[in-house]
Amino acid sequence: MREQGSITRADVEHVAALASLALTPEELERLGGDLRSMLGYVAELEEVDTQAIAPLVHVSELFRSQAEGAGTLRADEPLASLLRAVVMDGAPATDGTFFKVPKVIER
Amino acid sequence: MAERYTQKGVPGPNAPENTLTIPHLRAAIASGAASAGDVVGQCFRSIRERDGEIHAFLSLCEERAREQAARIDGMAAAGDALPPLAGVPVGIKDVLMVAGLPATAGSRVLEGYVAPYTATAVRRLEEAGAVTLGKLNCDEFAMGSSNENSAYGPTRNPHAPDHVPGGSSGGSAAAVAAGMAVASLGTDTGGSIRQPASFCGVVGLLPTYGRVSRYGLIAFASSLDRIGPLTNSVRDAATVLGVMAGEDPLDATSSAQPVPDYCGLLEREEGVNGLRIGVPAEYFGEGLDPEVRAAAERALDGLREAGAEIKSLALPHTRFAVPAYYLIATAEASANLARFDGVRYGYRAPHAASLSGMYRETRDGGFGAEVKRRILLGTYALSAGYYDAFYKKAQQVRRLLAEDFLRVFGAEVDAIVTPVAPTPAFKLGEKTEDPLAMYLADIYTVTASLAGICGLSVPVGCSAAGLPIGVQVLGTHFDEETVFRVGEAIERG
Repeated sequence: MREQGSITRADVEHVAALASLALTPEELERLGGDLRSMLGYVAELEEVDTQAIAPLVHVSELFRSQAEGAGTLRADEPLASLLRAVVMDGAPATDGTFFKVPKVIER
Repeated sequence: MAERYTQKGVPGPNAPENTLTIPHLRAAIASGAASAGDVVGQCFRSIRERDGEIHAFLSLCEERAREQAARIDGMAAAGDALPPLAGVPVGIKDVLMVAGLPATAGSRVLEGYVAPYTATAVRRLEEAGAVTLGKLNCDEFAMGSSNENSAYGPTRNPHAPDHVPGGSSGGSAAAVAAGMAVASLGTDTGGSIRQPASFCGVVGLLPTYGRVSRYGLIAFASSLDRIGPLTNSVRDAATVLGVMAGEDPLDATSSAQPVPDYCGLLEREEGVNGLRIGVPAEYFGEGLDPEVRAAAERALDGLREAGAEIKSLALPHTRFAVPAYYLIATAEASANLARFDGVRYGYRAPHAASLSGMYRETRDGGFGAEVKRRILLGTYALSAGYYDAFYKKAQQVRRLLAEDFLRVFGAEVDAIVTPVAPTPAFKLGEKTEDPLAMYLADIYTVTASLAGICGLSVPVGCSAAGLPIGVQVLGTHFDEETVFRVGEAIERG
């Protein structure tokens, strides 16, 4: 694990860009400090020897095999989906058929 | 209305006084002593009287509730058999979808959004006769332990309004504690049902992962998120779970395990005689408030007197649970919250010149500080070069934590009893400046979250300052029955 104190403002800006967050300079300062202190704290995990340990990505693997056998997915049958009009009602900008967004391609 | 229908029997001395429970309510409606319409009307009166101060509800649906109640009253008048939750007024945490009602998740980014479909858990409640009163306040996207991260203002603790109700299901706990609802649904990713239940003096259940469908829950961390009830008694929690639980084709992680008759089990009054109850030393160490410790020890003394065998045990990886939890939960959150981009729902930043600018500005304007903090940590933990050191490492530690529990359940103990939180409710504003301190207080709840096991928070009295204190009962995967038995014994004192 890398030395956590070394996280720079540019690193925080990079992570914010990856997450599509436009942070203000004040947010970069404050949230960057919080990120630094959290990374310092989670470094405690280095104390645990996990060399021979498989990651547990999902707890269902602990009990699903014994309880339910192999089939965990439902049959691939088409079902009714939400009505387009209902979905479009919840969107900030639509033409009734498509979601509208700022222009992507300049002519 | 509470006093009128109080009967002999459950809940016992550790339950809040003068509370209305589901069996009493059902009996009153079935006998004609009260109508579902009366009960709903009384709830809305309580909400109008108290919720200006408490702020448990973010939205109400009175007309819809009165229609639901009228249907129940019609059934009662016709002499039809009443469903298990007939006329039970419930509140729903605002991260769960109810078609036609707002779903904000406590966030500006979903302000004004109306759910187009209903969560399976809510649908099953309503099909069993429950009456939905409205949507309940919570920390934004269920991220928080105090309800102070709601974009719509904090909920206050009904027992002490200058104190937090806990979080993130703070509105769900406060609504039941204040008598504004008889039961509520909350969600628990790292303790968000159990801790507010403890802070507000109500019962809160974390069902086993997969026991209740997550369909219609706005996702925070999908491998950890669970839906569960907050109620006035252990039996009520068992009743609500019995209705909600079971396989759902719309959630591939929901379990096909048969749903036991939880209430039938409790009615057999088997008690806890001969049960082995584990007490892990790691949960009683430094940082535990003396009054919370004393409350847990009182509960253990009661269980011993009721014939349970109390055994010390070791869960050696406990102290690594909080760092593992915050890496896994934030990593999953950073992926789940990518969908809030101003295109399909809720808020969109105005005047953005480009598509990518619209995404960024929408997310910056729509998300609060805690959500951004967690997205940053989660994105960092998943980013190139750090994945193995953070995310994978946390998943490895998660296996060790789960193995700690699986080693002792069955072989050594039937259930485990611990504190829920290191302290009773704290004051509003007390911890908002120190996010890490807030995270550390999740130490006793994140373990069960990571291991997927079930847990119950049961009230065991109050601190000298009058703040409720709960204890946590943990059981192995799909053993809610044992957890309810132990919980009911604690409730009876």
